[in-house]
Amino acid sequence: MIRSALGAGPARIALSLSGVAALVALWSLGLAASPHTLLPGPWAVVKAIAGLAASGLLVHHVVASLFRVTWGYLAAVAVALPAGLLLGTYRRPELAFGPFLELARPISPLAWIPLSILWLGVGDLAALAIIFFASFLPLVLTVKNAVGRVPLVHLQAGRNFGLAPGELARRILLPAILPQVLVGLRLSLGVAWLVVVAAEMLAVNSGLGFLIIDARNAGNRYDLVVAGMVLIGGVGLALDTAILRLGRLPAFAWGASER
Amino acid sequence: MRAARRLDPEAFLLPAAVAVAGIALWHLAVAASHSTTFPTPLAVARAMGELARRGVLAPYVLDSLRRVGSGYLLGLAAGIPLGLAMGWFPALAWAINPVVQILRPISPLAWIPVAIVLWGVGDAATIFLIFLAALFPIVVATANGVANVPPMVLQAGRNFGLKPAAVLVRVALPAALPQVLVGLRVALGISWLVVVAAEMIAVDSGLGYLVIDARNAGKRYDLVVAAMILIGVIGLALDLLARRVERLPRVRWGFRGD
Repeated sequence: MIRSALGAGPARIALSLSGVAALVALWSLGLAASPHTLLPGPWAVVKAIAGLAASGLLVHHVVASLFRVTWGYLAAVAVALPAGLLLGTYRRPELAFGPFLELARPISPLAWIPLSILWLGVGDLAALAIIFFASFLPLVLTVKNAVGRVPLVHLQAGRNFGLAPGELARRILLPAILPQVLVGLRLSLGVAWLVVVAAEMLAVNSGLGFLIIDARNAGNRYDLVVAGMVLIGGVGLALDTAILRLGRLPAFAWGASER
Repeated sequence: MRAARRLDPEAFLLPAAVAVAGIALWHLAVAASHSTTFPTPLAVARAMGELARRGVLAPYVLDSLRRVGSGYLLGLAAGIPLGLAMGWFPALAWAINPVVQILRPISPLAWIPVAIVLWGVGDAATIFLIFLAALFPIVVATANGVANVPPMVLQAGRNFGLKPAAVLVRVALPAALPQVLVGLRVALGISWLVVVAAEMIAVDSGLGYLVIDARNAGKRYDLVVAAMILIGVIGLALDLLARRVERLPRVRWGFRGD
């Protein structure tokens, strides 16, 4: 992230490790000094994660959360890309629907929870719908705006080479908007991961969000709560890294150098 | 482009037509399904009036805004200096960046139980959650912004005889500002998303509380939808405000380097 050109010297590795060590030390010391008896120390959390892994609950909850995020997110991508291309290309649909997309986007996806439960019942479908909303709106607006910013010259050049509209979209428009779309994809995946945790706290009974709220409500097992937080952080980091990697593939890179 | 649009009657007529059609469709769908739980548009408008009459509309909106404001400003006060320091001193970035990268992807909502233990049920817990939600995007955007300032610009500053601190404040910070402001806007959006969720769980006032309370206490879905509309409108206003700041002439110069 921050300038990898400086290389991974031993000094850098030592500093990175010392930062993480300081965090763990601060956590233990803060705990020893504080009056809160409910909160677990680092070691208790490690043991809680090991316990979850041994009982198979770890895989169960992680898979449940990933399942919801994957399908809700992929459905949103599948609808948002064509919709964004359409709205970015044609003036009238953009005029007609653009303002409403802008208005709907800042409605916190979590505010949809009561409605999605009313319509879809308590369960996976409600959670999926919330994740769909959370990722669809930012994505469709990103794609739409990216299409609007493609230089007209590029499109005209394509037309002069005799490309049909479909080919124009595939060979000029898509590559040109890819860098911005990738940024949008990354941001909305982050939001989807944030939202799944909240949705699982309210609407279903599996997944990492459920693990956290259930561990707290059933017997104040704060070691499990923090274990759930660590798992959420780990999976979130893995998702973010995966989508960053995707953006660095050579096939996606050309537009970035243009900017 | 913008000026041309404003004169265009279609720019007004098309969205108006869609709005009318949407509201009519909503009304007809509710009428056709004989739903007793889901409100018609008129019922939502009446619910909005009821909230105003009961005197909870303004206090709830202000409560939510106050929580977002306090948490966000705290995140700003901590995140900008930390990000500046990380962008300026690579050694500091090496030490702190792994910690930031570990904590950043933890959904702020996952902190809810811990926040309640630390701060009790109430405002302090909510503000802490928004602080966390705002802090990490701000730190990352500021650190990257400062680290990506072209070295030539900094050297020019030094050639003019600026001391290191002056180079940071007068050259690096303005050059990084556009990227920082994008981070600030993203953080504001996430804060608004988080406050709604936090209010559903940790306090008993605010728009998020209104959504969940209206549902739990007597399935008042007209109030739920009214609260959603309020959340959308205020979120939109916050977003427009942040974009307005990005367009101020004073902060624009860095954009040219893009």
